[in-house]
Amino acid sequence: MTKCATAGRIHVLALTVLLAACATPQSRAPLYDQFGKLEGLNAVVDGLVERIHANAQIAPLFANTDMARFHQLLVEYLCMTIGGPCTYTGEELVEVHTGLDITEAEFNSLVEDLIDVMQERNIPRAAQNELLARLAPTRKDIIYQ
Amino acid sequence: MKATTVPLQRLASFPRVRIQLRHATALLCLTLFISICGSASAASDGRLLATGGATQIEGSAGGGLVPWAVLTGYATRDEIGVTAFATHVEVEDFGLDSLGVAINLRNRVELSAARQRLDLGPVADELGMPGYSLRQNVFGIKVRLAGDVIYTPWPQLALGAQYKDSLDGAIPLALGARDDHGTDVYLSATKLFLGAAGGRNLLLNGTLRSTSANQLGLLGFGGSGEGRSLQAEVSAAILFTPSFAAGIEYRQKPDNLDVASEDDFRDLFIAWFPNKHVSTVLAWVDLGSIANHDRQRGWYLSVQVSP
Repeated sequence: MTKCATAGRIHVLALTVLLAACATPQSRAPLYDQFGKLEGLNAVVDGLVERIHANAQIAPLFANTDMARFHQLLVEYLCMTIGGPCTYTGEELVEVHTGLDITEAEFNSLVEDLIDVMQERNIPRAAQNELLARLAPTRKDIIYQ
Repeated sequence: MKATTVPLQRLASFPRVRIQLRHATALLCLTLFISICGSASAASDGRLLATGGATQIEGSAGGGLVPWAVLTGYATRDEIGVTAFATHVEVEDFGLDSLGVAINLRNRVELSAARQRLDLGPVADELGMPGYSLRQNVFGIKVRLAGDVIYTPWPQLALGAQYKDSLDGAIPLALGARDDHGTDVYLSATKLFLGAAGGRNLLLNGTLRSTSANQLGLLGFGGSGEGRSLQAEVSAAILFTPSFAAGIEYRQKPDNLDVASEDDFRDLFIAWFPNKHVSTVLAWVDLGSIANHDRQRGWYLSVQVSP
């Protein structure tokens, strides 16, 4: 009985410690500001485009892409996604990716590049995860189209 | 599942066939494993870091003690991947080694094979068999039913089975176990909530297992009391970075043997995923009472590698 109670207490303690992080109120700046507004987003997309060119797995997918236009539209899309004052002027994601037959692995490879760039640009981890959470549902519109 | 476990169980009622079957099965699995490895496509690292979990104590992808709905390694629907693992658990009076391999077929089916060895410690002396250990083979299959641990709004769901067969069945039978082999069937739901833990990613897993295994099956299956029962297992972890996580697990267990009561398992773990080829889990475990030796607490270390 005592044993169970002690073990139970240890677990309640552990759970509390783990969940404390969830409950801790964070006085966060708006997501758009955490990314450094338009300037910060431009830098992230600059870095991402560099990585795409250097990434043999996904570079071929962009062979016929107008990279200047891609850059502009991606900044618009990310800006809109994180609540910035932008309007995405491109086509629907499904249309953009139709015919490319992007695989799950290629999609994730770009996600990894994006995470690396955000880390390199010192975007706070929580802001990174919030952006990824907002982008995650779009995967179904992008892969195997 | 149908192709392997059902005939296995049926055949297993004939002792002589069963002994041959053990070797045949092991050989078949090994051959299958190596041949599939050989023909596997070069890339099998298409999923994101840590999404294959680690390898749990019975050889299935999961945390430390609990199987999760994720499939081993990083293979996507276009890839085939293999992993191998080694785990050592050291508690007050016992040591447990677990060693095995697993293959992920297109992130749909996971096949695994593991050998567990429980070093009986003082219990071996009590039995007049110093240095004795209990060994069992575990053959696992897990099928991803639906979902993706990260990308779908609903959790990843998987149905799995672990066929366990003791190599030292005389002792469990002498202790009152009804059988020296058995099959666990489980349903797991696992979901990574991006940014849900104060901005960090939160992984939650729930597993429901139908089992008659005593101490994972190392002390046989069933007893004089109830046989098969449903047990709940849960895991929660926070990923502080993409490569570093900490969490807790709780695994409910049956209590079938009259001669020795059995407790639920629990652990606190940290996991490190330096890259997609290696993962390490270090845990503090509380295994409760084992063979009438109470308060079996100690350490758990597991390493998983893949090419």
